Amino acid sequence: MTTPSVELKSVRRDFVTPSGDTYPAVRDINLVIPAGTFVSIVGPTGCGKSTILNVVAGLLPPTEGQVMSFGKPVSGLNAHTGYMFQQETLLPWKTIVDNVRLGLTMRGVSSKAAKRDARSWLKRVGLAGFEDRYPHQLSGGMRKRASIAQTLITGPEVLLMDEPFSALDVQTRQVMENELLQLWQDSNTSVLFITHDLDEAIALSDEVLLLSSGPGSSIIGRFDVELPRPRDLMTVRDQPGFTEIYTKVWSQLRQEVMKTYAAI
Amino acid sequence: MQQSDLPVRRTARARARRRRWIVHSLQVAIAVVILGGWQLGSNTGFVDSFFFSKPSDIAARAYDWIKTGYILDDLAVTLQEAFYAFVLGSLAGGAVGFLLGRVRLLAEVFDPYIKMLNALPRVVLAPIFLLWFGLGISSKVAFGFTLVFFIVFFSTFQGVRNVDRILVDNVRMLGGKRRHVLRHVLIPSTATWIFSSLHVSVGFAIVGAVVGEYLGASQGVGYRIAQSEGTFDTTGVFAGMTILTLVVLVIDLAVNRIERRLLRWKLDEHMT
Repeated sequence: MTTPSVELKSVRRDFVTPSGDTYPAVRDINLVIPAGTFVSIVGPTGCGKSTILNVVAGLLPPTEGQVMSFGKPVSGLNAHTGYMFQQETLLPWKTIVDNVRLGLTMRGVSSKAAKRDARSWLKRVGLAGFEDRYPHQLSGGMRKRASIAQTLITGPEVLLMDEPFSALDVQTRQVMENELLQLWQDSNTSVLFITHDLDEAIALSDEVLLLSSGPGSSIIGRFDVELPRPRDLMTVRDQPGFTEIYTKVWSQLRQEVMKTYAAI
Repeated sequence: MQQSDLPVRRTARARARRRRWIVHSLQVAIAVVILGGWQLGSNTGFVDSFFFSKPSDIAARAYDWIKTGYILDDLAVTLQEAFYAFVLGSLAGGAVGFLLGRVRLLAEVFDPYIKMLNALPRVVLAPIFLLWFGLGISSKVAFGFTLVFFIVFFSTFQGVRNVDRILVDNVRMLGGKRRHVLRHVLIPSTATWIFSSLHVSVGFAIVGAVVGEYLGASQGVGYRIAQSEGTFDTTGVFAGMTILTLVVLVIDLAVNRIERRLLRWKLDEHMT
């Protein structure tokens, strides 16, 4: 068996409230992402999904437990990962092409080569002709495309995505999900995808992990999605088996959602 | 981007143009009414021209001062003082603001002192600066400096504090080291705040120079105004004011252009 791209072993992460109390955001997180697979984490709002991503990225050290990436423990930022945040992360004072090439430029790639690469990535995500625009001149969907290009240009082996499409309208979102799958299939990247949308998670993933409601969330369900690849997001929901697995996960997720609301 | 909205945009542009024309006409009308009324009032004796002078006299005097070059040396001195105050005040304010914005401990320690200095009405410093730095240009630069410093300091401080955390995280995840974060996120983000205070700080640099000159100097526009005032020459006072106002307007236009250039990533397409 090849070494998994990411492995979490009994990870716990606590937070300290301003009043000085500690409370666990996530606990007992055990998770393996084999290289090249697409794994989603689904859970109710506020259950610490982003915390898990930040721990994998190395932005947050775990309070307890171990984070491994390609067989080595992660200390500091995890250099294997690329992170696509939920928020807008393009630098507003840089043009699209300068934003996309940033990762290369910071690695010391010459400006000419980095620009050439950025242009070809922009073409791949359908943004040819928008190189010299500033982020605010593009629509939300186009900015997300640019973000994807910005993240993928450095060739990360693990792509971490934190509800990247949640701010987009349904149509744009489906198009983007399709393009993401396309880009992923062309590469050998693993993806850890966070969403609260079960539909999206099943349609995209090889495996769906269910996180319990917080605080102190842990993984309470693992579901393999064995729908054939390549998938088309427009039709994948009509495939036999989709509804089946959806119902299976949802019956469990629903209880967690109810718990979250009961707590409020 | 869409071609279909072009006709709509064209009529919108025509409407905007008409509106602009109306606004401009009304603006001119106001100037005519005020200046005309003033002129008429002082011609008929309704307005005491000893205290209020006359627009025609003021214009003639201003023209005369400029033509003979009488005021130009003074103007050069005033602008020089303002320039130094602006540059030094901005550099110091920017540096201190950046430092205190980055180092939390320093910010907390210096907080009461900064508040105290800022609460001090700066004009009371002018006399003491005259004593310290003399009647020459340094006392005016020092005075303007205290005005500019705090404006730039506070904008920089705010700017550094308000850097979007997520932008920093993103650059770090893209492989950015500390210096990259500084160069690609912190400095541009802070610069935005500093530029947005550009108008105010340029204005205050000039205020500093003129007020300083007014209180004690041997040259400068403020000094000429004070001199005219000393001989009850209201025409001279108004002429000095007029020239100063025109110069500041021109500088403000220049600042506008610089600002648009530096912050072009913020402007909307139809605004450029």
